[in-house]
Amino acid sequence: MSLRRSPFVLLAVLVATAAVAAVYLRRPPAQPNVEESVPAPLPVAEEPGPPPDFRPAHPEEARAAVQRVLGDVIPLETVRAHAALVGDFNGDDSPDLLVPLRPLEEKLAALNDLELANWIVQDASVPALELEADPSPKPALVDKGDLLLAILHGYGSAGWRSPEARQVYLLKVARHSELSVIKRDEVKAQAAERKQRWPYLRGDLVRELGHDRFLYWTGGRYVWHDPAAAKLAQAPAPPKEKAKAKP
Amino acid sequence: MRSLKVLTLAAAFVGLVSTPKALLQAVTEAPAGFDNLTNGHTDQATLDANRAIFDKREEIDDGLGPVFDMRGCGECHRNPVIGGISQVTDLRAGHFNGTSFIQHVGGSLIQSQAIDPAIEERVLDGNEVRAFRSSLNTLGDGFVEATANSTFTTIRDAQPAAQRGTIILVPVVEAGGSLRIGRFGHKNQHASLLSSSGDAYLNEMGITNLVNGFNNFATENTSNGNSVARFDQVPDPEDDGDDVEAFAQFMRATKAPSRGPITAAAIAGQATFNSIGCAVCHVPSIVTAAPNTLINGGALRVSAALGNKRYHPFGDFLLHNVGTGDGIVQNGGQGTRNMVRTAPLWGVRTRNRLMHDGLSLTFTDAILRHGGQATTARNNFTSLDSTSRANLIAFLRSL
Repeated sequence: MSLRRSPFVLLAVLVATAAVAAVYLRRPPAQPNVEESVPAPLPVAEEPGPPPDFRPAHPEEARAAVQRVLGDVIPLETVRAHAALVGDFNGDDSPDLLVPLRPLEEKLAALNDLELANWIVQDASVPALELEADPSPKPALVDKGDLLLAILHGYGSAGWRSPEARQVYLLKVARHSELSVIKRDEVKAQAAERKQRWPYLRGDLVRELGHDRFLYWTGGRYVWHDPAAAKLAQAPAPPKEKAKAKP
Repeated sequence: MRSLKVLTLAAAFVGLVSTPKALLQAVTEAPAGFDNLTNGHTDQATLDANRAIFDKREEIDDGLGPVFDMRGCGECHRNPVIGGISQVTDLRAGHFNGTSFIQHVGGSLIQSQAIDPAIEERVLDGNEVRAFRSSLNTLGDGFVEATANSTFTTIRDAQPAAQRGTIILVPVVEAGGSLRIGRFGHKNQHASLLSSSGDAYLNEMGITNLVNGFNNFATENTSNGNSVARFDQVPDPEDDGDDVEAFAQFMRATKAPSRGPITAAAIAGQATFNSIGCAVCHVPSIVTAAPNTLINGGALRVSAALGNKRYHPFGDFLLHNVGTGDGIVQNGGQGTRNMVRTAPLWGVRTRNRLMHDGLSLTFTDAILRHGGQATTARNNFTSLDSTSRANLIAFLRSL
């Protein structure tokens, strides 16, 4: 018997289909899906790479790096490449470059273009946590005559020499004498020996020769820390004078 | 031939009715809007009632403190509507001994207020690791909670090795400590909104509480490790669990943050955002688990309103090291010390202080601060022409 010629067969198929549907719709709801459990992730561990390249910066290398990240806004003649320093200033084990420079007045507009700049301008004189607690902070701007410290963060073991190293901070520092790098571990050891209190040092420090204060990375910005001033701030307050009678 | 068609149709029908109902529900867009309206998880009246509890200012008679940060959830989560962001920051502190972070005595969170000056917490000497953390958005978090573990592992596995996120498993308090992928908090320290609510009620407001009967958050905080019992007039637990349940239900029923005007520049900017690698971690779309799925260690069933929903967090809810880490360890082990959860960018136009510490004041500044795993994307950004950059910023301003 051909299907074509038998409407009863078609009818039977439809009835059977309807029956299956009816049984399905009347059955109790299916068990809910249960979220998959996940195996415990492996402990986070960074793979060791080649040793970081902390060789001192040759002036030509330093100028080339500045040009790579800052382009035309910092003419090379304003870069004090001979004073460049190398250290791990942000504590990521990759060598960073520090170069003093004094921008030209005609480049200030480009330097202060907050939307299109490829650098971050910071005022290193604002104490740690002060900016964070400021309810209405304002972006730092480069002013005429400012002396800046450019810090180019490194990438990988090649550090600031890597073409990938392009994160640069321009720090307003007002003034500075000759600078030197002090390794974080050395400072920590000295501080522990002297029982001095220090901020959390993620990276190497930049110290002014002849001064106690040093520049360090807080994790979000660079700030100066003056141990003498900090000690003074933590000293007990002098006794208050008696209030004078109002006239 | 006609018979064949009939048979095919019949077979298709049988197949259709045999398919689990949950799978038949098509994936639809998660409702979005800063309009205080429910996403359907609860009715509007329930959402409004729960919002009032979320926004209630606690008093000393309620159990506030003795040490606390704010008096109500709504004091930190309220821009532009209750449940949103704010620029209020938490202070965390501890010590790094060269290999490990050791939290401040009494916990890494340094509460900023107290009901008596004698117990005001402060950072003690020797705790040189100090970090401010901005208040997070909670709107749309029901969709995040309703996202299956496997979705996050899929996202992670699709990321290039250099950008791959880190997953941590954290206990779900209401499920007796059952482990689930962390997704809430700057350090992904929670996996469920109920656990997160109980934690915040205790640590941000000082209200001891029960979470589904579990007493993990039923012991009063200390002030720098010293007991504050003599200042505490309310017996513990100060909330039997009703309030934390209301907080969680409020967040579950909120809509996701909505987009602002989407201009031509914003559309072009999103294409750039994707092409330069931002979207590897700032994932544009995620789909929740099917309705009825048991999540949170079996303690919660995904509701119809939250299931099979596509939401747009522009985040992967995974931990990454982008060079801005705060040195604080919570639930993830020492390896996560300098990792933070990718900031979900939904609603980012409501913020004027960016990144986890609020230290970036412009979008450009925030992008330029990215390093570590985000180095390539940041460098791609710096290589853009001015039009592409402006478009990308326009896109961010539309989120």
